[in-house]
Amino acid sequence: MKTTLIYLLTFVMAVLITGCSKDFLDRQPLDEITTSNFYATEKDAQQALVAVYDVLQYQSVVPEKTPGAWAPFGTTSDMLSDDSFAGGGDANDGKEEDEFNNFNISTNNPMLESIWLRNYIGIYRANLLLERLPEITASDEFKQRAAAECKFLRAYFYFEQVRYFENIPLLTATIKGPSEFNQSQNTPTEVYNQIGLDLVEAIDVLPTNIPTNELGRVSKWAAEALLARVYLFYNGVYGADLIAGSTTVDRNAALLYLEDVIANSGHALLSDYADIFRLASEYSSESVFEIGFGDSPVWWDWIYTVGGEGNLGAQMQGPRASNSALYDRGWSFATVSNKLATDMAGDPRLTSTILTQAEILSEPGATLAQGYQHTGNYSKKYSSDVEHWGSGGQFELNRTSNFRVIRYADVLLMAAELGSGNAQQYLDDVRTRVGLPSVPATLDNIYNERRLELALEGIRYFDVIRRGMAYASQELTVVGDRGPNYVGDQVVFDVTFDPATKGFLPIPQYEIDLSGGVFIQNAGY
Amino acid sequence: MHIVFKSGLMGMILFLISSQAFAQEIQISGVITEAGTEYTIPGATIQVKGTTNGTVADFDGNYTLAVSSDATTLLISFVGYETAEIEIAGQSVINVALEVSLTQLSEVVVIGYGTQKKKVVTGAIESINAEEITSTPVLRLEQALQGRTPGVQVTNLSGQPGETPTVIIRGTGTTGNSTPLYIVDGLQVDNIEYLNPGDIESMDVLKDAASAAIYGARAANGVVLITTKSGEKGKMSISYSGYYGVQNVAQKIDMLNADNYKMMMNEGARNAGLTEPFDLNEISANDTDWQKELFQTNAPMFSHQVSVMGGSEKSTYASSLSYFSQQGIIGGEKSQFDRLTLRINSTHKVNKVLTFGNNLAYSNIVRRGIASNTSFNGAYNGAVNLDPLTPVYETDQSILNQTPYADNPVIVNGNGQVYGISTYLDQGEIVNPLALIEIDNAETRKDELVGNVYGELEPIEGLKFKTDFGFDLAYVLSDSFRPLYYLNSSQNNVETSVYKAIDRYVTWQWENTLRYSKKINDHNFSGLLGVTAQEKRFENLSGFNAGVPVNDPDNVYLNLATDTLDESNGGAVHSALFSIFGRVTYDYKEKYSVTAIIRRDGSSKFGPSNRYGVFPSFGAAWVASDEDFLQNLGPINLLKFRASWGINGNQEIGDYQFTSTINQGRWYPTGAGSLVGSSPTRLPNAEIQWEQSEQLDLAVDLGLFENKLTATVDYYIKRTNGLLEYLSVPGHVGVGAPIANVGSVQNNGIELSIDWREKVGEWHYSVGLNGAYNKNEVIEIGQPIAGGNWALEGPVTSTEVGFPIAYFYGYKTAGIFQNQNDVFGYINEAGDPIQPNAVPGDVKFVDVNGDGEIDEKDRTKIGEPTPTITLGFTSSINYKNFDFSMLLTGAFGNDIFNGISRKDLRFTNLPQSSLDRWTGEGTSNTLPRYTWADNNKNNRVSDLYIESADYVRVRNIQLGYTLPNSILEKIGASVWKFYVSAENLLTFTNYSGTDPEIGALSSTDIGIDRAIYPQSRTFRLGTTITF
Repeated sequence: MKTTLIYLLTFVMAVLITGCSKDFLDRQPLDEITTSNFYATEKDAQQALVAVYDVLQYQSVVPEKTPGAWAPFGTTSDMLSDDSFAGGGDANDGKEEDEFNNFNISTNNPMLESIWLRNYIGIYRANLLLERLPEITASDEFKQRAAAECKFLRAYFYFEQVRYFENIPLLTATIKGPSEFNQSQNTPTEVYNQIGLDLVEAIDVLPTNIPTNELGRVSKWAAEALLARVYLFYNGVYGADLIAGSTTVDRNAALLYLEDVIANSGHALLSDYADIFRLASEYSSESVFEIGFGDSPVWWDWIYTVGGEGNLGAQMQGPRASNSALYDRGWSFATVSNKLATDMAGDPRLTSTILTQAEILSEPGATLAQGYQHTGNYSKKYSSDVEHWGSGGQFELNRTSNFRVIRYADVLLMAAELGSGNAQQYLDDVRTRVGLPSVPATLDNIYNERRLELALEGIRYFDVIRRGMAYASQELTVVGDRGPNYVGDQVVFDVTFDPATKGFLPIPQYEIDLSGGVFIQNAGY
Repeated sequence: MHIVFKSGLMGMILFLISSQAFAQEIQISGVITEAGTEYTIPGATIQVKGTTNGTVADFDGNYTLAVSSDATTLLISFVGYETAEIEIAGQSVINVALEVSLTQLSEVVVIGYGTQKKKVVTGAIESINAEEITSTPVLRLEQALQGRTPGVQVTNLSGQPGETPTVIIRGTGTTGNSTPLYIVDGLQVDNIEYLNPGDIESMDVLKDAASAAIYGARAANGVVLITTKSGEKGKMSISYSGYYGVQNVAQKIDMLNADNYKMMMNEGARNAGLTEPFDLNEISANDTDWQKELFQTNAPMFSHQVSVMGGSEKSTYASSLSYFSQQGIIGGEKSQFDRLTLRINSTHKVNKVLTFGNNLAYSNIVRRGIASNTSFNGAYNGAVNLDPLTPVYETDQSILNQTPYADNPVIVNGNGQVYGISTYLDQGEIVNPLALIEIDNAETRKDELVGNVYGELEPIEGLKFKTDFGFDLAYVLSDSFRPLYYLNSSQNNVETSVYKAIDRYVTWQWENTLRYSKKINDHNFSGLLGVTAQEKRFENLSGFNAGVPVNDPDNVYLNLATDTLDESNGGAVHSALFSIFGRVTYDYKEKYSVTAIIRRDGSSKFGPSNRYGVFPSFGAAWVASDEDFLQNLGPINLLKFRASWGINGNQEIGDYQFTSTINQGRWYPTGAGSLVGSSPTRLPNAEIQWEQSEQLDLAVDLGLFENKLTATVDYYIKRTNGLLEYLSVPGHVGVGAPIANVGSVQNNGIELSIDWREKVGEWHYSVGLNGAYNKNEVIEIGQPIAGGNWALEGPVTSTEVGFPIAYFYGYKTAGIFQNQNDVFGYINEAGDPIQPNAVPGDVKFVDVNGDGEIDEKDRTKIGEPTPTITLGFTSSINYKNFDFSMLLTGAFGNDIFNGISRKDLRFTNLPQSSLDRWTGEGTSNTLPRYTWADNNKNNRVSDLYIESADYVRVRNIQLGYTLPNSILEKIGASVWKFYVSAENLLTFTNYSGTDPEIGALSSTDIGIDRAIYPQSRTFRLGTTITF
């Protein structure tokens, strides 16, 4: 009996030891979809496409293991320009921003990484969907349009990246694993030509009419206008035409795209300039391309701000007002320069562009804290104003103002600049809207009109850079002009442009370190 | 799985098969006493050698035992006494006098799947017995290890009731989870907060890899084996033990009073070129000492426990019921921990072959807590930083009639008093701390059932088959209610909301082991073969809604909410482990012993190609003092050498890291509403596998002067390879990093413990000193890891090659610029000032990399948060009916980053020591000028915030009195003891904060003081009575 028992026990142990089936250890996620079973249906593809759009409104990307920083596109590029200072609560609060403002940018400035990551996340998601689309079960019409949108968005992200950093790696496919991590920088020409190609291909496919239930998706007109903007910057800085595959985009081609928008798109100027940045004017006829911001779902999380939908730029640029029924508590970044205020004096667009401390304090009981580089002037286009307050969540994270990337006025002025036969008409259209008399459509007048019409919309800096370093030094170096309502020493308002950088930002040090010396730092840093 | 269950069924059937024959029986009785005294030894175990037949002496030391006629020898044993072997030789009355044990070598230690005599143990195992665990009442079981086990570093995370202490065995070996593996009665559990310390029989810490290897893939951080009490054969005993204690704050921080505060604020404004905010001639309406207002006086704590133990020939049982409650010294009932536990353990000897048993524990834990170590919205942080001019309660009706009081949901206490709101810190995180506590309504309630049922077959002597099914089932209900509130202009809430969540955790484990031990002459063999399957499941449901029209936080439910937000979430996670393990031990005359272990684990956490890992170990010991040629060693009675080597694993990462999941939270707002977007969360890494920790241990055990003095020295070197960390992914990849095996960490150290115990007449006394030295170094890492954020300055620690894990990383300073020449004289090679924004009174930072400017690249090692030396000192004295004990603990070689003050904000209060700031040439070379315009960034992370954290703490002093037998006999009790004890009575440290003991919020966030919730000073009165 005992022997039997021992044999039995031995048998039991042997069965137990060998008995575990493979399935027992094979545990796949229960409440999450994996990359291997997603990308099957049209609905999946639709969600993957939304995820590419989603990156448009990333303004603060916290990289792994390093501190992140808020760097909304408009706020950041205006701080680089002569229109805005850094601002913020005090010198420490705005220290990273101030490096942008006075062209003394540390290669460790976390805002760099925020910008760098944002665009590559967008590029990755666009590349990923372009790769997965063929295997998805959906109509050809859907697939073609989704592919064209991915190309538009990829071009948009690359354009921002190459405009800021100049020497960047160009990836048109996703990286599959660590063996492909190391990439080298491409020439700006290669990147711009890819942008050109993506936009030309997108123009052929994108719809001409975006129905109301699709507002926010890109149209053929957005692609044409963006291509013209790309051409103007590339040609201005590098003096060359875009080679978009078999298509060459030169001055004429760029102009033709714009004339197509003007003649056929149905886009038009709003009658009242003051209406452009109102909530009611989102996706209006003047908006050729617009980035959506909102408060759905309402957001609380300060750490993972990319998950929220609010316009962080509006929060940053808002005045530090308290006890106000009109302005929520902003952070007074990107305080508006006295130079812009002076240049706009007498212009009817001034009161829709610049918010003054006098206006804030005219509200009974309202108080205003004066922060760093206080000039008494704030942006009125993107601010912490009452109509853009979120409906819930952490109020700083839920501002609902959409960002107008390309306005029809810009299209008209670009066409005028490119030498349209209707240049005078286009310039007059822009001026007439705000009740200004006609001036001759000279380049200087067109440039000046761009400055005033498009002020504080993130456009000025690149308009200056594309006109060469001599002009950039002349415009961007501003010393001794703190205006009448300043707080602080003159020295904190003095800005000197460094032409050695050609106006580009440094490649983030973190990325250079990770590349193991393959990435080369930009000139001037 | 099916096969596992099928074969399990066969195993169960086997229990029912057994056969045996009984021999004739004789009765033996007697009394057990202590040698040389009249004391009897209640509870002594009397056992027939080589059998499981035995009994336990009653409280008078008497026993009777029926033995079979062929029995030859009795074994009589009791904790603290040498085991006696007595030949029966036909006697029917056998009285035995036990010698007091002066050596620990007769002790038995738990080694995982069995026990072993300490003398033949080859690894480094520390044991804590029930007496030590309950000798000083501990709130949580982890604290019983503190100061008693060299190499086991226990640091309280804060003084918040119920907070889990940080336990690190032999240095931090990973940047991931460094918590040891807890095995309770054979079952792996994720935490041990559900255990009542009074239920614990022993804790055994497996420190070296060779011992821990029996737990393979989960053992790299060390293993703590916990055994709960079981009953013993003999008379039933019922005991009650309980205590009541009061807690108070031991140390506060001296802050500025109103006058000095106003003076400093004016100075800060003046130095920034701003208008001075205060007229110093005006008398302040308030001078609030926020700390005094915040800390509770005599916060109560108490514990009650009733236990019943006993057993018969066939069955033993141990049941207990306990209730523990502790209120915090901050927040009172808003910071409270309540624990109810119920335990039923029993064993049943069905027949000679089959034993059956179970351990079952139910616990109910209710926990309310406030943020305990944060720069943002921490109550204590607020108390330190809020200005003294704000009143605790605003009583001025004219102020109450104005904004913000009149038009906002300001907080009112139970007596209708309105909490004051600062007019200076009217934005930001620093608010009235009492109001902040008032709105804190988070509570979790956990019901947990942990237990196991086992059966053991012993078909022939020495061969045991055991099947053990264990489970851990927990439900956690969390809820929080956000009332309407207005604390200041940025801390307010205009809509009530409620959040509820239910988490369900289920772990089951089925373990089968086959053990065999055999003694052939002087050769002792034992073998173990085992197989374990384990599965864990987690599921969660939660809901959130807003607009709750009630204001009673205890009665808020989702259905009451009126809003349409109505968010719900539900998730689930599962994982599995399947393991095979074996162990062989051999010793010759208990003089030479060897142990070899091998374990193979399969884990679902890793990719299909890397699921299995093999963990070997080997250990040997030599009791040199047993050699004939080493018999004349003078006072040395014992000399034992041990050596062991092994490899352990660590799998504590999130589940499914080998694959890539889709995140469906990529919203994008469009003209047609917000649309859901989806994209991958990270790159997959199918290659991911275990962290492997390899360790060598060399040790000497010594006994001197008739073993009155015992000492142990261990040297170890422990290397973790393949550290699981997030891979550094270049930005252009565009998607999150996977976890990968990317680093290596080395710990080496020495542990020493010396104990002296002696009995002189009626005096028993013992003293013990234990200490450990550990050096930690990162050998390899993917990319430096920044950790431990402080205020708005970001990370304070870094983990990188050549440094210890999470060292303090910041700027080195070189004094204060005394005058303008100092500033101008601090120039780089190009002749430009290194700190162009500095003015006299600002901090001079060291240009560490010599590039002529001060930036991130100049940050370097400025301190070390982990102690290199930890010490424990225990002593006890017994005289007649009195006993006294003391426990001292200490830590040396570490620093604290003192980040209590929020100097980055204007109008925050400052410590008294800030009065020593620089105010002109020669006034200070350490504290910069106070200014509201810090253009030189004086407040960046620098060595100015580093302070030594060395301390020695009188953790516990206790005086007890046991009532004499003459009284006990009248009431029928066997023991009745009273005691008074004090915890944290004294702390010797130079640290200027409240508490030098700051545990790890994570492996890379340690030793940062953001105004930590300090540990209390506690006085307790307690009693234990056993019938």
